[in-house]
Amino acid sequence: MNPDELKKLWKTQTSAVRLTIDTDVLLQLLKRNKNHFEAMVFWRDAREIGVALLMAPILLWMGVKDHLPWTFFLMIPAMLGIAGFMLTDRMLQKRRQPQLDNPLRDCLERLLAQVEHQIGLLRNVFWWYLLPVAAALAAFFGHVTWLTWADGWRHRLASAVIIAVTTLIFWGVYWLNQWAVRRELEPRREELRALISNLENDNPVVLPSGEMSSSTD
Amino acid sequence: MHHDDSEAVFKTWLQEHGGIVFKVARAYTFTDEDRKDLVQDILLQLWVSLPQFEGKAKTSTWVYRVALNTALASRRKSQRRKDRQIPILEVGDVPAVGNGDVQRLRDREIVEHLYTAIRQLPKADAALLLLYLDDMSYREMAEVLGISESNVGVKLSRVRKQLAELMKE
Repeated sequence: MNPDELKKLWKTQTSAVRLTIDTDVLLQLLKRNKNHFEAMVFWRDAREIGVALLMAPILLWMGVKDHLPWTFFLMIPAMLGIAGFMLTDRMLQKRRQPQLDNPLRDCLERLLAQVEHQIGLLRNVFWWYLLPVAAALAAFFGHVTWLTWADGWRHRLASAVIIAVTTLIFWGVYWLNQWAVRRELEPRREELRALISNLENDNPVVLPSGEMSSSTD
Repeated sequence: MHHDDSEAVFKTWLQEHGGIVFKVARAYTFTDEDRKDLVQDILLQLWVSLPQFEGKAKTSTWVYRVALNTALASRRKSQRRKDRQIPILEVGDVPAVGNGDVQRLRDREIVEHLYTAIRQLPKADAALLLLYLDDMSYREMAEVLGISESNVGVKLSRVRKQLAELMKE
């Protein structure tokens, strides 16, 4: 059967496709799903940014209540800085969201840019998230250790243990972020690059996954 | 667009272009469950994108754009979202009855084979083939895919050959 015959058959067969939908019920459900999706995005942002914002007054209250050294309060600008950075980034990214009614190539390129941005954020999580908090914590622990140096080796040991545990937690957060990049984002980036390359070029190649693609490389 | 107008337009589109949604979903999924899930995602995106439709493109072209973008942009996960899946949505072929059924069944088998072939193609090529099978012009295909008409021509000739090979298997 040649492609033109296939085309003819395709049209007759697919016109026999039945879509049984109660459009009124469907619309209700679509509206509900849209609201659900919007709420999900809002709460995800609120959770991530809100936690950083909420930490500022909590830290202030803790510091004042327990008369902690001034270095403790360095955590507050660190938290506010992180929250500000995340908020600005989310707002900028919202404007660059892929529009699903754009041509396929534009949509894929925007998606790729979004994934690359995510990769950049997580790869550099040390600089914008971990370092400000770690620097503030290091200043506080260093200060406390210096203030309690004369209290004996037990205090010094306790400080050393706290610093070691905190370092371990920070390393864990960093490792988790890099793992997410390797496991989720990099494969997605490769998939999108293959799709765009497939649209742009016309020399078929076989991807390691076995799927055929096109590339001039 | 007024809210009530949107609903009326959406309902009309479902009647006229529901087949596009179904075809795209069927071409990009392997199981019924995934297909229903993708149909739902596409319908949701159509509903969300509806206010941006300015009428510059043909409705079918626009529906194809949203459907293909959704199919290629989404990553199907193994875990289902049954809690949010639309229960009133049933997709399927009209059963063959009466005389001439043998021919219809044979035709249906060929179409099934065609879908199997489409699923083996790279996703972007599958998109092009769907547009070609729906008799779109080079200009419309270029508009949906965001590539030049000459590129459409070159790719299409290769994809057609590839399809012919796959259909022989």
